[in-house]
Amino acid sequence: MAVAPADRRSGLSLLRSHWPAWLDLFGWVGRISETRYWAWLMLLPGFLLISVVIFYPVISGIWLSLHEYNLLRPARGQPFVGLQQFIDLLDDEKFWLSLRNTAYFGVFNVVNPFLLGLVIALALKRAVRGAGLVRTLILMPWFMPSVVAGHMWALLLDSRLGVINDILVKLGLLESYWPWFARTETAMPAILLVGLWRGFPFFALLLLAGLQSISQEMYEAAAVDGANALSRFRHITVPLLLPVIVVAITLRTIAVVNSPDLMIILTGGGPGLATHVLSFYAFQTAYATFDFGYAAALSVVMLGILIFFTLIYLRVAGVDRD
Amino acid sequence: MSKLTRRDFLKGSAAAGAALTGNALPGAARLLAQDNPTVDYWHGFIAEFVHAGFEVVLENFHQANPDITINPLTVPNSEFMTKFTTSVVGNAAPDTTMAAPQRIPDMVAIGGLQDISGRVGESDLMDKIPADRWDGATIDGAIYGVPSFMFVDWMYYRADWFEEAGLDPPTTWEAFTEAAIAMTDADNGRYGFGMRGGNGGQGFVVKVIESFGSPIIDDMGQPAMDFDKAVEALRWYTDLHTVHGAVPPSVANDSFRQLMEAFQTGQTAMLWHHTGSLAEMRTVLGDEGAFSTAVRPHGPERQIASATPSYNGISMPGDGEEDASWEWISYWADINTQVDFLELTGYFPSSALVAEDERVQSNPLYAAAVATVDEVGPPTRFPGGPGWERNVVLPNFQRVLLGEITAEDAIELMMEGLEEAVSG
Repeated sequence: MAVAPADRRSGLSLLRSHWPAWLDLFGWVGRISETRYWAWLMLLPGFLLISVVIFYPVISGIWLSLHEYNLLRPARGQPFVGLQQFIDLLDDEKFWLSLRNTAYFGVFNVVNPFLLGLVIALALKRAVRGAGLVRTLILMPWFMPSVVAGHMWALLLDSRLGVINDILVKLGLLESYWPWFARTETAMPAILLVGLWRGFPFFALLLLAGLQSISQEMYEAAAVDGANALSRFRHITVPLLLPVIVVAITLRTIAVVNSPDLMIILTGGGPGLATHVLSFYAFQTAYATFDFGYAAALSVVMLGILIFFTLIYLRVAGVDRD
Repeated sequence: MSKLTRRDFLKGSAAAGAALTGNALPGAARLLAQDNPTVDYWHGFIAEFVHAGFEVVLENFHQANPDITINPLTVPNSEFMTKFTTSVVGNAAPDTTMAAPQRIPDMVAIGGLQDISGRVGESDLMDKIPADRWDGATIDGAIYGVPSFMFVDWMYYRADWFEEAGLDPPTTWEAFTEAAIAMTDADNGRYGFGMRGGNGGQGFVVKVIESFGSPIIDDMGQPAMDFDKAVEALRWYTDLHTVHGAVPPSVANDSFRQLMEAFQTGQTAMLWHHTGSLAEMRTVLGDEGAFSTAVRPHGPERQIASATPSYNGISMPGDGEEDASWEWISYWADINTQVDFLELTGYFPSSALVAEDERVQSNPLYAAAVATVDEVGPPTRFPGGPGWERNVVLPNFQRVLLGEITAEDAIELMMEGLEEAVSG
């Protein structure tokens, strides 16, 4: 049986008079959806998520860096010490050594994989037979957990059983097996080799995606105008790939500077302090000496360095001009 | 009797639902936990043969205590303090945990272990386990762990090589140097001593320093290193590499795994470790006399060794799980448990009764442990000690091995670091 409009209205009024008060919230939402505050309301869940995941840890870390907080001395509590822990860093020889090692490790563990990744991306861009399979295989080092990769390379470079030592001796490049991780002069280069192996697929993948977005017609037009391969690379590939390069290098730098995993597995920061980087120092300070306040100060310094680097890099790369 | 209306029924249902989900459930869970408690247990039994022994202990415990479920979690030794600290800070520590004596001061200081003195006092455990074996878990008179088994320091040596050279295993530090040099043939990749210069090597340095007569801390817990004696100790130890070349060139990165491989593949003649690795050694080298065990050499003042009980403590048990947690950790002190575990793993018993067992006394490989266990105590321990050893002792020891600094410089840095670690 059809219901007359008047009956429907009266039915709705009847329903409204009986539904719980909290259902009026929907009416409020309906009203606000037609105002300019609606966009802010839509952003609220994302903002809350970012606050919990990013802002809270960062602010908490900064707060901690301004307080003494040693788990082994709970009786002291967490007194506010201002910038004292940052001042202490200035006199901390291990900090300066770690900073120097971090710069060395950070630069070469980004530049080397970038260059290799670029070469491989350029090679893979050519549509050769089996390129798809090669692309997948090349990504394998990136898929492998760093702990597994670290242990695998520890074995490959082992001073007694290492395959790499065996090959180098058989090729006549070494007289005897070399303890790569036990000597000051080779410990960091050996870690950088592992970092190169782990890191180049990341660059190859991103740069390949960037290369494939560049129109082939531009290369053909440049070739018609007489540009050789180097000129085409310099004047077409590099400028158009720059946004991808900037993003890739920034992300990789942040990951490298923040991750002590290879040091923990391969050298433990040694021999001596040869591979002692800031992230490892902060980790050890927190979990070996339980001085979370000082570890937080080290982490805040790392954060500052990374922000500074990113800003400078973006400026030098000219990204902000666009 | 009044009639039950539909509204009353709905109200009642809602109330029952709220009570079940909001209030009654925790109570029910508590009741359930008391009847069938589940006890979380963190341990470091990673090696296959040790894990097999642990499984037997678990099975036996379950048969003896069918109402209690043990929920074990393997935590690698190297990651233990990181995970444990995080869990304590996050109020999510396990009910029970294995605990090394060197770590117990730190674990207690961060509030991660409970005082179990009362339960120990009410039990018969003090009769089974010698008083000094509780020392490693006792702080200011309070007990924080039950000894389960012991890692007794000893030395492995290539019996066949020593026999060939007509040498007896060295018993003093001077004889040790001579034997290490005599056994070295670097051109053929053979070295006298597998020195631990990588992670874990810090503990050996501390024991060497103490064996030369320099304490680390005094009875009041204050720094007490004797500069001259410590320098003499460190110089002797590092000279084995820097002067005599009796140690593999990879020493600064050699940790447990590398050293075991070197010994087992015939690259080193002597190796310092403890009873915990016996089962692996026997598996790889067999019982045919290729290797044997000996008491570690004495320094000028005392033996370069310690006997380290491994403890089980109660950390943060859930409601109704305190008694079950105690049942579990005290079960490890049971004689049958320790015999089972010894036979499967080679881990030395903490119970004095088991140590006198025929199976222990008659096995020549255990003779070195039996001779050592009554002579030495637990390793030096104090709050901040593991951090000092790892972050100060180890890197500076390595720098001496690499020739970057002298033994004097290293000891000076170690003493400065010790002051800082103790005073905070």
